[in-house]
Amino acid sequence: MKKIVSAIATVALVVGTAVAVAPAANAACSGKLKIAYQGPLTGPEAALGINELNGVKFALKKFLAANKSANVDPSVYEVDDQGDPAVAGPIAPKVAAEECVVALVGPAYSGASKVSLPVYLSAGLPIITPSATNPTLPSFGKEIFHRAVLTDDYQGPAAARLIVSKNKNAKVFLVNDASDYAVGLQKTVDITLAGRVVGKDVTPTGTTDFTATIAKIKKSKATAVFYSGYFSQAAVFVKQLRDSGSKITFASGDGTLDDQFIKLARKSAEGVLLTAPAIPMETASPKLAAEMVKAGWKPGVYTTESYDSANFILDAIKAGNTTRSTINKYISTKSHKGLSKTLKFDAEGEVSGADVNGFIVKNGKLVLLGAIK
Amino acid sequence: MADKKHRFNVRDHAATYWENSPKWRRIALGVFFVAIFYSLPFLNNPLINTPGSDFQSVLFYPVGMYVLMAIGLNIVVGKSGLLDLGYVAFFAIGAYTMAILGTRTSLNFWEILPIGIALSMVSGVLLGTPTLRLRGDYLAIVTLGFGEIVRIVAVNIEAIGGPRGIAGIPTPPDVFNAKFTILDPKPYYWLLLTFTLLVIWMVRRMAARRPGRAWDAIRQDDDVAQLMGVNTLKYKVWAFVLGAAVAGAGGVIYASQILSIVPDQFNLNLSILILACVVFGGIGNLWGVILGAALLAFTPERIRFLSQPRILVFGIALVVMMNLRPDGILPKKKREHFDPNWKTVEESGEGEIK
Amino acid sequence: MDFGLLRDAFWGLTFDGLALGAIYALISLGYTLVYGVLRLINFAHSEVFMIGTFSALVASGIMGVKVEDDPRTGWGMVFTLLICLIAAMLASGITAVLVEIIAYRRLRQRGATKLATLISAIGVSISLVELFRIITDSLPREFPRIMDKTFLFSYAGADIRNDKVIVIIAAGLMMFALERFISKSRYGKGIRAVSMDENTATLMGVNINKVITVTFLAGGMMAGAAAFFYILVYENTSFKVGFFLGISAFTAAVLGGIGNLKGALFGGFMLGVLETWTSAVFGTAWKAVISFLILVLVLLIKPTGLFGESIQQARV
Repeated sequence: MKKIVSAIATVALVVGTAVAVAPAANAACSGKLKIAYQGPLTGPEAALGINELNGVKFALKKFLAANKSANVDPSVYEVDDQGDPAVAGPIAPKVAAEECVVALVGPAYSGASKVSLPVYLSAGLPIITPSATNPTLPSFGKEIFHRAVLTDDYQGPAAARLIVSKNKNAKVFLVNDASDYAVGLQKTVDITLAGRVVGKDVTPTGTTDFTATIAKIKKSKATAVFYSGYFSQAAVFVKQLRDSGSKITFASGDGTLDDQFIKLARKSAEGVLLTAPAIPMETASPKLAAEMVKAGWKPGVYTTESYDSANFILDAIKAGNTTRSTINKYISTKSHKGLSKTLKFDAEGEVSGADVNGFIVKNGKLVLLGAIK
Repeated sequence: MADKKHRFNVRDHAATYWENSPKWRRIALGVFFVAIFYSLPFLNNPLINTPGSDFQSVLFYPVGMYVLMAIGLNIVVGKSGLLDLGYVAFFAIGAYTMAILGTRTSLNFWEILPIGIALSMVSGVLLGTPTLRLRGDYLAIVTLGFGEIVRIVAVNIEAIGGPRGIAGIPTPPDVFNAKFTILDPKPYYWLLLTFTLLVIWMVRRMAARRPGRAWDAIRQDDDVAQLMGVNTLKYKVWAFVLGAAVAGAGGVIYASQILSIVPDQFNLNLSILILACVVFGGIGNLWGVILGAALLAFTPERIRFLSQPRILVFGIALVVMMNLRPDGILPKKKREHFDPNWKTVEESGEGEIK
Repeated sequence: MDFGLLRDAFWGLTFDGLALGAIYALISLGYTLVYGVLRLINFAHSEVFMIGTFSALVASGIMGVKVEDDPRTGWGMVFTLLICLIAAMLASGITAVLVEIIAYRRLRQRGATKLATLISAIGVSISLVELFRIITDSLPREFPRIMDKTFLFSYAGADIRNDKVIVIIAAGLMMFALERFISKSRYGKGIRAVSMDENTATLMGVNINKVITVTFLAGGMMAGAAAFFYILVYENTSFKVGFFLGISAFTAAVLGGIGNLKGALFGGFMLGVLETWTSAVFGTAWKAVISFLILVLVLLIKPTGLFGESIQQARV
């Protein structure tokens, strides 16, 4: 009896395997063209991803309202990489294999971009990232890489100039959170500030006690501190700094530029200087910002840039380009007048003629100071 | 004594079947199963497909990699009873070896692989020798610390990339016309599979010989083993080093596929995940561990909605498993059940001097 | 390496280190108590702490304190703070007891292996962390400033802040109370009996389950107090706040001599100060590494800790 059972089992297994190994479906896109967005849609960084995704959604909605017969899918192909290269890795080939995805806005984060770019390069999928600011990204696939913002190579010096413009004799203390982004940003700030840097410290993500760092700052007699990192830790830091009695200037980069920062730091956030190579949509076009809110999405940081990126792609499609290579060619060669800036990419996929903007927290709100000269 | 009714035990059943099979049947079965595993990438069945990520990619990582690492950790935790919470450190060392040597020297993957394994083994000795004397819970904390230290050091030292990690890791050179590129995970998967089979073979051989018996003794009662003359420290370090070697090899292979690594990838969560695979499958039980790892790696990819609370589910699973089924999904009952046919020496009359 | 900083800011750093150490000491009491009675590292203790912080937060919310509010004064302030403290202690205590019942009791009664119990503990820890990660959507939460932070005076360059003084003194008081409980009360005697010899204690009529429950409750409540003090000083919390604090607190317990209450007290303060000093000298980035190294060194060189009296040996 046992023998029969095992024999049947073996046969079933073999048959099942044969049936299962069916040839993979391999179709060219037979439906509507899709635009993808890649970024953190869940997890701690989700706020940023959702802000950018909404920009893409808004652009798509307006486009389809004006071009009702366009062969474009009304929903965005969402790719959630949680801002994490480990997650982005296995996802990228799948996106690349989706025949109908002809262009991608994103990835939002530099780490995920590094991992995804080689895959997209092999598949010829053009991308425009609205927020990945690591300057080394083009080397991973410049043929299809385009960036709608200035890199940290620009943000750092701009931040330095902002600090000095407030106080010509500024003595600056530099702190970073040991993340990829922060270390890169601080480097450029450091170089620009040159002799004005009086001390440095590293407070890795997860640090809750800044006592030693603050002691260092006090000893160095710095008049300003520049923090490279993200908002949640920046808030903790600035609060402890203020509670220790220090009134020195606190400045930070685009990682801190978030409403959550003000919420978390409350009074301590007052007077904080922030920089970003982004412009709030309310400033770029109050009319469109209001329209977007009416459509059900609130603009946030980098929404404007992702809106512009999506529109550039839609321009390409409107001009009759329907494949990845033709869209890529269009984006790489033509220009697009966007809300934040005119998008015209050079050979490395970088944009020029853009500004880094300065912000200040006043009365619990983010106020745009203007472009940093 | 009461005669306990034999409960159907899959593993024992399979083991008995295997032992009773003539040699030709064993070979046929072996070849058959190996063939199935090699042809897995060609599977395209809606039942198995992973939405959201590429199935072949998933086979390599996390499925294949978790299986390999679980086998490695099983030697340490399962067979020898040493709770290692910092296993990811060896994986990281392997990956970093590949990354650093691959980007800064002209060595290729095959040349770097033994170096990566060697470095992991050395770390295993360095970590193990002072700490394996400690009791279970202390060992757990210390190994956890080691895992975290490796990560923090990697983040803080600019010379090995700092928080940005290392990018541009070269892929292995072609093997028999199989190209190792980022777009095609199949050759990587086969490479991993071959290596895993080698490791399985090695582990089974050792388990059957003195090291295996020593590990068993240590796991069951360290003090008694020492009293019986087993050099527990030596065998514990052996187990540790072997586990480290396996993880290190996995790290080298992983780095050569993913092309860029960041230190934050090698975190405590991964150590815990691999531990969960070992626990879930059945501590000490090789096949259970493989099955457990495959399931735990594959399920969240298959059921995307499970992906988000995945770690929560693992945590709960750990608690539930330990409380209800501490032997895992394929428990090893052979030695524990009472066999009415087994006679004591007195009863059987053997051993008496006639 | 900046020894100059340590020299210049010595008293300030030491004072701040003591405040941090007070929190460590309270948490480490939980570890040391449970270890003394069960020979088990309660991995979930760090989450007991974390839950305490969130409870204090919720309590403040229920009392209508909003984050934007100005700090309160007088008896209103004291009352609000006390409620938050009690809420934290209760929540942590209850969590600790629940953890024992769900994750450890069955294994203990079945005589399961150390490994199994440890893994169960880890499972609980991970589950709680992940649960709160999902609940808070990975975002940190801040605590309203109920008591205004003012500098009381300056001593040798150290700015003595009121909240830190309160934490140090209050922690000391709590530990004193716990010590009284352990040495004088009936349950306290039961705890000491079980930690010395479980079998004999049972034979002498000690109800093991009750004693263990009380142990977890006491340790949990201490952690809850620590949670309140933490949130008073640092004013924020997140799902992962327990991890590093837990490791440091455990290190403190080992440093002082695991199973030894006085050891936990001194170990806590000492580690808090040591960590702050080394952060000043080597940089904050290396703080966690220093903690672990201290732990490893203690375990290798003097596993019974500063005050000895380790109930069981650390070595095999």
